[in-house]
Amino acid sequence: MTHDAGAAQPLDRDTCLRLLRSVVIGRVAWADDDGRVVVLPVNFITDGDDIAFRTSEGGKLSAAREGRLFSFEADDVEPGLRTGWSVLVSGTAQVVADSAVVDRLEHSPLAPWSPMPASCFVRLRPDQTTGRRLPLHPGGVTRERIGPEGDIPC
Amino acid sequence: MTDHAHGGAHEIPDPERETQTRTVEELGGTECLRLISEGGVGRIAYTGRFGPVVLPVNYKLHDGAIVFRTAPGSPMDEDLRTGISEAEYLVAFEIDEIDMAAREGWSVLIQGSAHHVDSEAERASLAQAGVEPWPGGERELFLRIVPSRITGRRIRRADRSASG
Repeated sequence: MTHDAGAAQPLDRDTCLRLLRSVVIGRVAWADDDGRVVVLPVNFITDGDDIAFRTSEGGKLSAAREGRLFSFEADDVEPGLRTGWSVLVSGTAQVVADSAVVDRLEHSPLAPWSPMPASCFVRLRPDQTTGRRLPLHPGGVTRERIGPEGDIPC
Repeated sequence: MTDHAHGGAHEIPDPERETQTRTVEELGGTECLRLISEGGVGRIAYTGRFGPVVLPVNYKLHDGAIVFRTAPGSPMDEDLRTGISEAEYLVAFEIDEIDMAAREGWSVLIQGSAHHVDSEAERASLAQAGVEPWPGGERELFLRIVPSRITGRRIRRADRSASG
């Protein structure tokens, strides 16, 4: 390649959604009134276009109730190969109140990893979904090591 | 929760029972720094023009600060410049290590201000420390996050916790 081999390549929305479905851990981020940013890992699923996760009382739930702008990031990176992808979803989060949806999410793979008293579900409705693929770092490793041509390294 | 898990997934361990065997512990600052001392991939988060931005970067811990590289003039570079001398942008940096199979892991959250490393001497010192860009290419700008707050959590099986 003659162009900047390290430049991130943008991913289209469909690819982003497909990649999101290939992982189960992502990170949610929001900022409080003082501009202090918090970013924490969550176990998530995609529910239609939405991102859904379970949480109990704490920062995430407070931020969702306060209607703060949320972002959600998921990635799969190969530090050894220095390649991978990252998807960023931004939008508004809401606590799921509809009992039918709660029931559906209860049966999803969102079982908490540790005891979570009075947990509830939060869903992030995307306003914007962007993604980028990080190409291989220049070096001795070739693209073919990742998989069949056109395959997504995930 | 007192509800019983409803049907399904008989072949995998009962997630509810599994869940009860996990504990969450808050980690102290020293333990957090120890966990992240090897460097690797972390995520920088900051408030961008359209809300919070989160991006993976390759970082090193250098003199108690998170250091990574990006491209000068990149959206991240521009977003993290306040345009005011001495004023620095508040950011967060998250590092985690999660074992999906064991359903255990830890995460560390660092909050602090992002500092553009502009002096040659400082750049040389960081370059010597082996802060490598990832992805590659023209990423000659060093950013340093000086922690003002470090918090962390660990989830692990109760029988592996220090408290037993």
